[in-house]
Amino acid sequence: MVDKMLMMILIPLITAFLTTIILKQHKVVWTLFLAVSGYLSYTLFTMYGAWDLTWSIELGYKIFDSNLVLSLANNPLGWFFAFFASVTTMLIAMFSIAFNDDKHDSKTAPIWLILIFANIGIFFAQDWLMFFGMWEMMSMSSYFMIAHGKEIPAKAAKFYLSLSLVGTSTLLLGIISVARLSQTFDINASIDSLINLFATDYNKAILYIGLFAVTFFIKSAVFPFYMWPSKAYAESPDDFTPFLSTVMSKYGIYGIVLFILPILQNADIPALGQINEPAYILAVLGAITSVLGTILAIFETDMKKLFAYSSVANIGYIVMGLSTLSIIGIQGALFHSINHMVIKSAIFLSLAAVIYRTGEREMHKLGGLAYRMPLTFMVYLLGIISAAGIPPLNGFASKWLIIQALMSQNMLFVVIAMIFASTGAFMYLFRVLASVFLGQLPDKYKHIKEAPLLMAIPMTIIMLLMLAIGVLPGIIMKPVNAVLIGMGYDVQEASWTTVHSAFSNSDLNVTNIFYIFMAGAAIALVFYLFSAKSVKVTQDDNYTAGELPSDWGTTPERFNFSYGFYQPFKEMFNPMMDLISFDRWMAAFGKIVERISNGLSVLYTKSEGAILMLYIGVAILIIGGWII
Amino acid sequence: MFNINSLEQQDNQDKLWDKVINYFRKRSLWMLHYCTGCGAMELPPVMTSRWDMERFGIGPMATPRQADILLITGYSSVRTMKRIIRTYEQMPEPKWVLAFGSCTVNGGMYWDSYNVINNLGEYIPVDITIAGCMPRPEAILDSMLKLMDMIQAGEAKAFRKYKENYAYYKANQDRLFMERGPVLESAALRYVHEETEGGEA
Amino acid sequence: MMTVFNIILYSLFAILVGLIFLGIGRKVAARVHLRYGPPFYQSIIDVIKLMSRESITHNFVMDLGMVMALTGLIGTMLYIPIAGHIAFESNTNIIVIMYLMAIGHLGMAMAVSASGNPYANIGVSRALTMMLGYEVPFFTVMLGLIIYNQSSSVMVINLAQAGSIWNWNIWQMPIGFIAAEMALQAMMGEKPFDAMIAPAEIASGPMVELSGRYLGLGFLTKAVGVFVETALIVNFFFGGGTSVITFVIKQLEVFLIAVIFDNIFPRYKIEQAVKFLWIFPMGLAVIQLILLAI
Repeated sequence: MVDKMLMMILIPLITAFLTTIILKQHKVVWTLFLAVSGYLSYTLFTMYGAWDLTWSIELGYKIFDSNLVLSLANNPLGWFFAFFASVTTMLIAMFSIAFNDDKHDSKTAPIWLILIFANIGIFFAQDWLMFFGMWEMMSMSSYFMIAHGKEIPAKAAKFYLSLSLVGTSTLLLGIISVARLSQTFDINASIDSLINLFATDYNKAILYIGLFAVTFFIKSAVFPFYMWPSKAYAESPDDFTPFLSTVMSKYGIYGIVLFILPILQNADIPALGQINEPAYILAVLGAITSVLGTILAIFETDMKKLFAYSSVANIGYIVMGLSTLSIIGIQGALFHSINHMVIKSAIFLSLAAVIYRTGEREMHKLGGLAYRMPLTFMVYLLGIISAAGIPPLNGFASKWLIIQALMSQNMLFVVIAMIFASTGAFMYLFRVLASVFLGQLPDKYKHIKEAPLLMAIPMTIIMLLMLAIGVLPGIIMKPVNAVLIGMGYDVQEASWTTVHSAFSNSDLNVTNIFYIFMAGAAIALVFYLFSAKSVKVTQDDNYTAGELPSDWGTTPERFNFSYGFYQPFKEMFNPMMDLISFDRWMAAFGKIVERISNGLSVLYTKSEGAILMLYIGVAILIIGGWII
Repeated sequence: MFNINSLEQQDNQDKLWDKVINYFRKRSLWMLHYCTGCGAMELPPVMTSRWDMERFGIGPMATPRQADILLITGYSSVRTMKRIIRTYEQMPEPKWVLAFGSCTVNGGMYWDSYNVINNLGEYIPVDITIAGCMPRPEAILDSMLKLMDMIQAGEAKAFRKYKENYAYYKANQDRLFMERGPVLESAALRYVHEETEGGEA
Repeated sequence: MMTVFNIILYSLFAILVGLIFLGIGRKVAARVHLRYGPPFYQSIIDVIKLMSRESITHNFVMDLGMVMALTGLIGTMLYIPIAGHIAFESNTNIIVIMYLMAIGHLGMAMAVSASGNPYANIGVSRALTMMLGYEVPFFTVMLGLIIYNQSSSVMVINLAQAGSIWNWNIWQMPIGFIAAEMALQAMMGEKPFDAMIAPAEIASGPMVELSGRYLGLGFLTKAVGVFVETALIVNFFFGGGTSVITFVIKQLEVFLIAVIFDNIFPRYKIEQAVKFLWIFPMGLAVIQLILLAI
């Protein structure tokens, strides 16, 4: 019997090389991809509870008097993320078979498989060497995924890569400094040693945590690094964007839960309010992330960029949940991580189906697709209802948990930020619905068809999943609580229907809300059915003060109100937006540097300061290495 | 439960249910005032505190979709006629038309204008015409009350006349637009009607 | 069985009360204008007329959306305690109520957008912007209540004010009450915050293409919405009520304040409205919150 753990990381790797040989046969390649992700999901499913499953290899070198070991181990937290990530990947893979036809084939399956290999490695890594190696592998392969051999995407990917480089350099620095402290590369040992460090040298400990935090923040796009998703998500292959948004944005979250959270909870840090100072910084960063992500999403006209910012906002909620350091907050954050996976895969897959049929990404050039692609519309509709956190679907319970946790920790202004972000979410979510799926159908899209069957199947599964989790939160809450018990937290086993909170009289029976909703629907339907019949008219039969739009040369595209959908709102924010625009700041900085060093100007101005970022990364390594 | 009276049911007006529904219809008349001419000036006093038509449940509405009554408040030129017809056709049934002043009957002081129609009733079916140049607010209120009585009695059925005799109205409309020439390219109205047999007025 | 009966009873009660409130509101508005005004049951007549009328639909989304709108509001209503009574065994959580209400807004927005009329979309975009404007201050006030009572259950907040009239939260947190009233004005879409309707400007915005049964459902949604919003304020600040009758009278009082303000103010532009909401009610709410937290 070959080691299960080893098999699990080797199979994607071997398949990656196999698929490189037969890259032209796109059907075979993507079916293999589906098979691998299916295999991973199944294996992970059987691995639940077997927490003693490990695999390790001794390298035979010695640093800090300890043997260098590369090791993977099954652990509750890693399993939790890995399992749901691979299930999501499986659904996306099914979609990819249909998406990557002769015309749309991005030929990225091998790299994607390497990415999945790195994915498993990150979630099960037991020591920092393995973690770092896999992290680097993930950064590199995702760079190639985003670029996928095209020019414009390559620019976006370069930006992403240079940011990743900063991230990996700080990670490396952090690992070395922590390893020197604990004399070993083991992750758990380093957590203990950092907790001890807090007692002796507070500032140093904060610095070390900060080094890790920068890496995790970059990968999850938390506040100072919020801008890369809008570039990278928009340009990556349309069937890869869901993976980027659902799985890859969770690496940072995983890192925070794995490493930073236990330290903040257990270390001897002076309290600030009901939590402590570093946690407050985390909360504020989360709040800024979600508010900024929301506002930027409202202003976006490109639907993929819009949802990239929406992902940023959602990561903000999760970070806020984690920053409460309370059981309920962590429950909410983990629950929301999975919900975000489900929701964003629904949304991005339905948008990918739209792009597959129309080839258009700008919202204002589309319209009325609900009448041609009703299933895609339904998937998207349920997706946004969940994403807005409206009760009978899944996004609600997790948001509710996070809000309750924030309120019970008296983090009042963070709660207000959360409410702002989740109300603002209606604005951008609805904008896409109105611009893409509703309104006037342009003439050139009169004949498009519903998404093909292989796309429809995963979308339908996700739709049902959203409903199922929404009605029975226990589907996710049970694993969440099992994970928390496995990590040593003191929690009860979750119930199928009810989520708990710290306040009095606030055990929320989510299934009951579903019943209430159905009761409301029944009554509304009675009113609807007992009223007079309606007559159907054509889409251009609209009230226009008696005019015929066609008399004025108005085509259906131009008859839609969708380009400046929130123009007045945008104008309110314009002066403020100029101040905080990171791109502008970068450009200005680049210009100053250009003037100073005329000879090197080319290096700084190309691709929005990407090369500058690269130099920053290198500089961090050099300076950091010198200090340590 | 609720049912629009179809053409066949036209004569079964004595049904209790229709009487009940007619009561609600007459007590809640929403009007769309197409302010073509000077007659519109008489509407504000009717709506505001002097005569207050809201006490009968009559109120102004913004679009034809919501309205029950279309008020043509004065003379209508060929250009506005096209808009009037489109607006009328966009209103859901049951719908009623009130024509204001002598302009809508015989052209009034514009009777020999090259660009003003003389008799509105030739182009869309009119339920009540209010005489006067201009009609007094009392006359307007009186016509509203008269319309309410007609609705209760099941007599205000002009919109059905339009359906039955669509060929006649359409011919008149086409002749008007043809003679005077289309102001804009596509004078054709896009509203699709069911073809009804034997339309003679 | 009892629950089913309760649900039907509560929803019909809310719809009826909401419609009568709208009628009384029109009557009061007429008296402000020195008019006689329609009878108080005028709204009921309007709804029956609309329901019995032919209506015009553009596609299936319109039907789906309007039913969703009423569903959301009735669902919300079933979640709110009325004078201590509740249709359904639940914890009456404030956040659930806020989010359930949102489904009504979403359904309405979807239905009107489906008509493809640009006016409707302009109205919806304004309504959603306005929502961001009022939701934040309103929630901040509620946050104060939640922190004060250490519970996010409407029922608990309600019961904490039992006994004397001086236990009402309106005396405990008057600044918060003023902020909530301002936000409520926007929530009900009354002037000066009615930029989304604006009949003279964008032809009644979201309602532009609604006719017959759709407008009827919209009216019912509005009626239940008025009921829900006033009931929330009564529960939060006026100590609920000992009986259903006192509860409804308090609701009417809250509604009439809104109606009178509606009739004496002109209309803000949308960005002015949002700025106003973020400066004045939000500022008051934050002051209240700080006062409570200290």
